[in-house]
Amino acid sequence: MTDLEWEGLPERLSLRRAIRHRLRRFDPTIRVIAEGFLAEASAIDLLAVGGEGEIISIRIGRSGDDGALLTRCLADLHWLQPRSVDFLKLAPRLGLEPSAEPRAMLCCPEFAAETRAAVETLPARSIELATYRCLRQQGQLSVLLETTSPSRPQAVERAAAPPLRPSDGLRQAPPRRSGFRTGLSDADLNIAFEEEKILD
Amino acid sequence: MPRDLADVLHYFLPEFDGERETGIGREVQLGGVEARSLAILGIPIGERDVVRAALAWNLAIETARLGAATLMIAPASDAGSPLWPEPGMGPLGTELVLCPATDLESLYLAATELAKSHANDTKMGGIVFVRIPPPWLAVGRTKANPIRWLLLLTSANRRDLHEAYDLAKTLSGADPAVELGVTIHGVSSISEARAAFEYLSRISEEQLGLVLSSYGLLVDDLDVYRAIAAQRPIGLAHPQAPATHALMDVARLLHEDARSRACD
Repeated sequence: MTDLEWEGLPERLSLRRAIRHRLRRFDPTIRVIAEGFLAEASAIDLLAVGGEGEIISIRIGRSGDDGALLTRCLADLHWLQPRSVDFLKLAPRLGLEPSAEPRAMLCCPEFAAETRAAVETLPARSIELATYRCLRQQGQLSVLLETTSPSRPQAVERAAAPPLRPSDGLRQAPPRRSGFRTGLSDADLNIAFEEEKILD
Repeated sequence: MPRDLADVLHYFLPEFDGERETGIGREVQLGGVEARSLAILGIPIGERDVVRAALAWNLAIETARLGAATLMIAPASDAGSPLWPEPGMGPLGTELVLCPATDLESLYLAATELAKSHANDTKMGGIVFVRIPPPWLAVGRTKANPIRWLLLLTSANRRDLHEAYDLAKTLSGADPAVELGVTIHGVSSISEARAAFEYLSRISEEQLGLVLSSYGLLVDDLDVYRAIAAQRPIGLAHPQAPATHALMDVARLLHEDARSRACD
């Protein structure tokens, strides 16, 4: 892989785009729904919906930003919680679950020991810390994203799951967190059928 | 219909006017990002696979309905085939382009040119959908697949899922960085699509270390086949049909992801 090289920090827009791109592999259940989204007093870099319908504030910072951004993440959780219902009304097909607690993800090149310690005092998963490194592959900016939260449920589930062969059946798959994405409900798929039945 | 939270919330919340300094980096305008290139999405479609071609064409139209610039590019050998309508501008500005490509590299080059030349058609970004003849993806056919983002359309039956798995294996073997998405088509319920995706996702991850992205489902609906037979966009012919709801949902997922793929 001679065409792979580490990259310094790019301008903010490119970095945000690269992290948004990488999130799909980092956690396939996360769906970014807005960028530069104004919260209480500053813009959330990426606003997303998680696999359980929870709203996620994703803040991206540079070295030394982590302390201030942690404060903003906490403020985001406070600000987002009462607004989940409004978001659901505005965009009902985004798969939001208003009863799910909002959470935050903080992405920085590194985190100070105080920031890590502060996050450990919070409820599990309420704020996730992820470090990133930028690289350029075939001319395309990319990032390596790595969580620093040891209790990341997805990683635990994957590690615990037994291997499965292609010849195994659908029903033999043990339960795991699904990466399946859709904003549809069963009602979306049945309305017209019901209407046709009535017309028939 | 607004499908992205950023598309509607600026009616209710303050909006930044361009970039500004905030002390921690810079903040940029809510919503659209101006790109220098549209995202390129490859879709393997056989030369007689009318259903997949129709689904791809309809996905392009639904993506255009979201405000995105969308184009469909296919090899010129498709001319006159039942896969596509007449080349040129179609519904909602979706354009079908046939190019004289004879292999993956030349197809990709043509797609790249289109992606760049249409990059500023809209601030909402967009997608160049590329019809890839599956034999072009075979091992040894090309040095490397230059198309890094592909969508596999598969039904939920076991044989098709294993075919999709085999294709995923070939693609990831040739390029471990390839990003593969999957849409399950021809299903009648969300649970059926979910089970199929989870099965495929699971074996791909366990056997290949490959993480598949889900791009929803497309339903088995009589309206789909009626529209295919008539070569009419499903969303325009039957706007309230379940098939249309599903197409809109998949288009939204693709569009959301495309916006993070716009090339620098």
